Amino acid sequence: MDRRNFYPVFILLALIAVWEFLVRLFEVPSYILPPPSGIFQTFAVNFSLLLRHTLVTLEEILLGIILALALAFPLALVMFFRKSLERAFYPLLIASQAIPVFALAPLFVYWFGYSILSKVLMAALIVFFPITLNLLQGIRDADRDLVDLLWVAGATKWQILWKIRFPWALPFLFAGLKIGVSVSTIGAVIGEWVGSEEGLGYLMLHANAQLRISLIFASILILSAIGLALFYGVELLERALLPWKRRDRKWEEKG
Amino acid sequence: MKLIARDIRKEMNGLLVLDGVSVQLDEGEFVTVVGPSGCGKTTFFNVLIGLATYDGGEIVYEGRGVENLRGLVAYMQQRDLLLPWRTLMGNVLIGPEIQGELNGETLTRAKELLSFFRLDSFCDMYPSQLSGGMRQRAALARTLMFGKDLLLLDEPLSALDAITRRKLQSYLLALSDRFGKSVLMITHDVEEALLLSDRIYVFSALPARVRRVIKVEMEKPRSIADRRFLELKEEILDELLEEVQNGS
Repeated sequence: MDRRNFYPVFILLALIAVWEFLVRLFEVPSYILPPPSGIFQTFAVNFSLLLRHTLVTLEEILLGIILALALAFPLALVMFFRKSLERAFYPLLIASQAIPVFALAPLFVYWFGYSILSKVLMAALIVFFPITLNLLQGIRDADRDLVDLLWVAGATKWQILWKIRFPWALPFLFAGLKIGVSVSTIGAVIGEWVGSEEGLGYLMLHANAQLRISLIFASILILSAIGLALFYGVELLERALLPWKRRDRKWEEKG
Repeated sequence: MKLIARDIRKEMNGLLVLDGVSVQLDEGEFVTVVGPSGCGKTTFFNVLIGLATYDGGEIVYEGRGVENLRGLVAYMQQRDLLLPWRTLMGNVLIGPEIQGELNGETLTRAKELLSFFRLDSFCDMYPSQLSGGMRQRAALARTLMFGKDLLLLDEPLSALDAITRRKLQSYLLALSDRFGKSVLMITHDVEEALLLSDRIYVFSALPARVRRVIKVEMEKPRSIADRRFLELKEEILDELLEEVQNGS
């Protein structure tokens, strides 16, 4: 394994050590800032509680990502093929991001209830923007000469889309997906804050009310871990699906 | 006649680019177009294959008037244009794939072609892993796999170094000699034109006209040291030089 992979682990451990040290040195009360050891203890004691709420939030996020993907593809294609529809949709797309998710959360909960649906929609709303824009950009960006090559050979526009534009857009899609999944937790948690009966956001609100600060920290840690795992999961998927993107050495011809 | 382009005329932004260009190509013939750079050779090709419109003239393919040659020719450029996400084999099979003819027969033919181009051990490699010469050979194999009798090559070897280029010229010769294709090629390399062509069209500077047609009656493969070869080379270079001086 590359030793550079250990750098972030090392930094993290160092920060935890400093944190622990400072909290003990200045005797900070644990209802203000708990020491890392206290947070880990909370983890151990409340494991099943945390697990239950984590699974709910995770489900919301994953469904949100899937929904976002399901929306991104047709929307990007429609905008690619119909210039007029692109002009119609594009400002709406941007507006959907200009409105803070926070502002929409109460409405979503009002319309779709305390159930998982409103959180899934919140997560999808955040994720689908970078995916759609990148996908559209990738489809459009495809090498003109490659497109012409197939066109001259008599390929249909769907063949060109499927055999040139779509593969060309895949790296773009993955770039958008990486941005999307890293922020996907935001939508789900805000949705839970506004109205829910389970999930890490819900847990945090309750912990807050009871001054169980270390439980809040534990939830935050889990959320960061989810974000990281999703990000690297997408990266692994990208490597598996785009083997040609790996930079290998060139094969030099002999003789 | 395989192909007749008669009196092709095209304006771009009010500027005359093609001033009544006429080119013909016999079945199985290897014909090249040479001309000063920027003279409209590529525009002429783009008109033929349908990537550009034209304002006058006609295109006749196998005795039948056509708007352009889209779907009738296989076309190749200076850039190899291999799809980076496909292996060599996948690239070579793109032609049969879009024609809906991906079957055992085309697969066998692809393998034969790849081995003819000495690429059989690289079938599963991605273009980024291969050298320029290998990529261009793969592009040639793919061009043949489109299964058309007529090939249009736009400076197919220009991006290669001199030695690789010399090696690939023998493969170009095989297109007509071995595979029986009719080839229309643009080149700016007079020597290359003389090595390969049955006839050479010398284009004028902008707006492009056919300045001269030279029939090259020497046995192939030819030698660049041959006296007749050297004479013709001088002659064509002189004409091109004159055009460049007139043009600018």
